Amino acid sequence: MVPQGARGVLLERQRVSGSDESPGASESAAFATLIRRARAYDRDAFGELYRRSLGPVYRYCRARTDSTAEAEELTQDVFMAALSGIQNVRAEHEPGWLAWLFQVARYKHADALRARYRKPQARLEAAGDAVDEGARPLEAVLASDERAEVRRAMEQLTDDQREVIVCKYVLGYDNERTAAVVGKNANAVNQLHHRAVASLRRLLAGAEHGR
Amino acid sequence: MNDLTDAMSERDAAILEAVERVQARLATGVAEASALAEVPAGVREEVEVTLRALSRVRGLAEAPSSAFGPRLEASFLDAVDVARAQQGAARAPRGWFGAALLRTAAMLGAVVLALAGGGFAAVQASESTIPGDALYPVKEAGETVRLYFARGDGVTRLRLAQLVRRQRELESALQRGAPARVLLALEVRVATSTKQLVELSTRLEAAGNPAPAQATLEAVKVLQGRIDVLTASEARPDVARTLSRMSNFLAAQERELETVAPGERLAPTPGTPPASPGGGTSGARETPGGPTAADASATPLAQRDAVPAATGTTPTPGGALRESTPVATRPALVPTAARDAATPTAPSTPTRRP
Repeated sequence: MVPQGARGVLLERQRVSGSDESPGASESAAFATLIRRARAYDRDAFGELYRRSLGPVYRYCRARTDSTAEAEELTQDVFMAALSGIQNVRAEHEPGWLAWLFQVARYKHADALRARYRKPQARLEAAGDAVDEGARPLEAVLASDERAEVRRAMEQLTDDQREVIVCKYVLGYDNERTAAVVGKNANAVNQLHHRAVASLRRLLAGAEHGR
Repeated sequence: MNDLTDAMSERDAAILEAVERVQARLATGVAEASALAEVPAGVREEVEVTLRALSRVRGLAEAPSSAFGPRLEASFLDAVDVARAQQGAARAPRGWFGAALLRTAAMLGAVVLALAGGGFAAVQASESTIPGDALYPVKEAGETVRLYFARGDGVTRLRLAQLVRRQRELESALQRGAPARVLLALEVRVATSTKQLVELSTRLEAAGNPAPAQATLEAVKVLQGRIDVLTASEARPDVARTLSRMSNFLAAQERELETVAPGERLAPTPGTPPASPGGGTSGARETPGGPTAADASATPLAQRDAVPAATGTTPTPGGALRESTPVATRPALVPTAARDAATPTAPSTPTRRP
């Protein structure tokens, strides 16, 4: 059961990101048409949505997971959930659609963590990553540690701060697009960004000193 | 305290402003040392630390591998086709008469006919139907009604029998040269029946009764073996692909069952198909794992499992197809099936969530 609050937040985000702040009327209209076709399970429309969303969704998932295998699994879950939930999508332009996919990714990731907690098992895929990602296992392990440290720091941020940081630094979005995806106005995004960067500086500098 | 907080915020703001200036300079191609030299000395060190921190955050960005994108796209678009086929199957034969209404009517009709004693022929006639046939809803309704009234070990037996029925439907559909739409509908039903059975067995095993899991494992192996044979003899490439997906899905379910308690499993049956098409029946009816007395304690779980079927719930197209992607070529996707089957209560339907 989805907490009412979480659903409310999502609907609010979709509403805000679907409001007058849309990037362009014609682009919005084209995207709305794409979504309408997707609701009728049009293969081409879904193919187009997939191609537009794969990069951001995968990057988003990868920023939240320990290994490539987990990121791929999460990305797959997100797209399959998108197919199942397409009738409920209210977004009328791309940032709104991405905001919805990211929200799905967050829920799916939380589900996966809960499942792992309930049924602990060796993550063989994660171990495989360390070996496969490069010819030098030591470097791969160090890179993995580096990622883990940064991710731990990001986990300390509030949800909104983390979303802003991911949008700006992982997905490379500008302020306007970040605001549309996060579902907040530019001022709020600026404040969140400001606080998040200050927190990250302290957290990561602290981690560096602690080594 | 407020003054201190405000002072810190102002300092943070000054640092962030300097960071943004430096980033803008770097973007124009200016060397980092030169850009940093322009920063006021009082905040330079913190600006450097911040830039390093942000650079590390950027390091989290990673593009999908060149193999992953097309692989996922193929299975995703397959799932779209299934969803469209399901939608079409739900609408086409029913016209204005709503699907839910028809299902309810069919169920009530089956009950009334059965009670009146006159429904026996209709129910018997529906046994040989496949999705898309006029009497198929009667068959589905019959299964639903039987599950609704089943208790304890009866639920497991019915679910095993369901799996055998799906196998017969598949064979019948192939013999009749049914269109891809029907096979896609059957794929979803095979996935549904298998998954429900695996979930039920896993729960019963967790409650201390390993017999249903053993019986399920055998039944799934038999079905998979039969599907492999059918795949090998299938000339139509799209149908062969659907069958292959089913086989992969079943293989993933087998692995899930085998990981639950490998030590308690019977010796695995060979993956070769049975001698006769009806070989699956033995897996269901004569199973040594026929639910035992331990089932009695697990009855509430079994009943709980029966509820979704009684309400006509079917897995989402994504849920059904997600595990049906070729496992052999997609090792990363296997844990999804394991995870879903292991945590049936974990919400995964985006109709509930966004």
